[in-house]
Amino acid sequence: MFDSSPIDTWEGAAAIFNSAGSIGEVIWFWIAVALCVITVISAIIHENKTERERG
Amino acid sequence: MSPEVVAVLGAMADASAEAYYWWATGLMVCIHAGFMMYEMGQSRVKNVLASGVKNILAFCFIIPTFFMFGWWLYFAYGTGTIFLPDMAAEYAAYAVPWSEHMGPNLGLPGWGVLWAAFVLFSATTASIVSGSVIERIRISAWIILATLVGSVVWIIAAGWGWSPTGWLVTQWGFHDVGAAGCVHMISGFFALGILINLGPRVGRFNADGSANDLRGHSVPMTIAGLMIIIIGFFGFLGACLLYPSPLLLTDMTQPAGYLTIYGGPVNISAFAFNTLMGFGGGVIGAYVITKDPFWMMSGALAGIFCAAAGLDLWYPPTAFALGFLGGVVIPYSHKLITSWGIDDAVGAVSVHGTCGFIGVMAVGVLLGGYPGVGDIPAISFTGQLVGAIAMGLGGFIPGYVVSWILKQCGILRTSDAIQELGVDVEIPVPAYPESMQSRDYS
Repeated sequence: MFDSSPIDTWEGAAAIFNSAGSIGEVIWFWIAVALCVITVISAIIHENKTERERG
Repeated sequence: MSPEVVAVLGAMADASAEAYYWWATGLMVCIHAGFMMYEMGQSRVKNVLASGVKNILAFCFIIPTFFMFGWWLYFAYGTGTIFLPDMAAEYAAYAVPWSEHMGPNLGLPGWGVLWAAFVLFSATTASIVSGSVIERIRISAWIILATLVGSVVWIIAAGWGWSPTGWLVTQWGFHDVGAAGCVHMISGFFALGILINLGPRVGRFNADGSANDLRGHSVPMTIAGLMIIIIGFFGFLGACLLYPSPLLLTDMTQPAGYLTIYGGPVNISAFAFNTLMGFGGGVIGAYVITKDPFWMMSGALAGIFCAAAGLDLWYPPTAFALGFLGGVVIPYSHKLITSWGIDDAVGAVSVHGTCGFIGVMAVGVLLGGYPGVGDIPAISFTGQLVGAIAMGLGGFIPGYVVSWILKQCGILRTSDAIQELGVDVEIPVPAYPESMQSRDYS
């Protein structure tokens, strides 16, 4: 579906990961950052709820 | 380079390769230690030792049966068709149990450690199924099913799609370096086939179809076990790589590095990046949805499996995102399967079947166009889909058919009366003689 290969041949290949050297690399990086931030927010909400209900 | 130098380099490389696979095999035993703890922790006290015995016996039956026929099946199906083995396959003759190579042989260093690594892959495949059927499968039936999945089914699937010459690879460009398809999809769908015939544990479902939570007796044991499985997977994934050596047909006159099972260039660093990122993403994804340590550690596995098929090629944040997806999906997948009246005691169908499928298809969706090595076609969505279907059916059909036969023979399921009493009635020693109630030994 998404042709993300940065190489056409294995001869002399160096960075071979998907989206290497393209905007896709930046997008995936920020997706990972966002997922970490979402998790911390989720933890804060969960703990606040527990404090309200049980504290 | 002189022939003498090449010979010395080759001998040293072969010795290093033997050491590499020896230690990887040893690490993989941690997968069994972990699964054993995981399954025992998920069992109620009255069933705990039976779960452990079942797990140990599965491992130990796979060792001789893989020697007897499993190793041969890999090579025979590596160049065979979907259903028929290639009786004249080049290395198959080395793998028959009466071959001079199937024992200590100074002329072929490394054959035994390669066999050993595959034994541990086989035992891992069976261990995966083991947890889903705890607390009601008869140990004798389990030995038969474990041998089937470990020494026959997965290894045939590996011949199809985890081998440079298998039909899925040569015809469809199937790419699955970390065995998401041939180990995890096979075992997950094999488990599903068994569970349909095995039936739920007594008390799992009410008359109206609602499910009761049959909690295991030790969540700390369960999650510690899952963490130990993660340690073992470093051995598993390491052993998925081909070590540059004459044993693995490397030309020692040229610079050489690690290869994937398909012969493509790779290094351990690629696996290091993406194994850890998949692991971390899976735990975090499951935490967001459940806050439950059982699902978090199951998410750790799920995350690795979602990244497994493309460990050589993922940008690490992509592996992290895939792992996160796996961690999010598994509790919903498990809930869906439970709503069908299927009692999977540990969520194996979701963690391995569903996430193995995600792993295989993620390669098709996101890694299209990567060239194959030699005549192997490029990675494609269609190729991955064909592989996923082959692995799903390849696991489900034998699991369902053989468990159905065992059921008709009346030897699949422990009776309801024994389940009420506790399956540990078959074990001559108590699990916790002093501190926790196990069963009445009077």
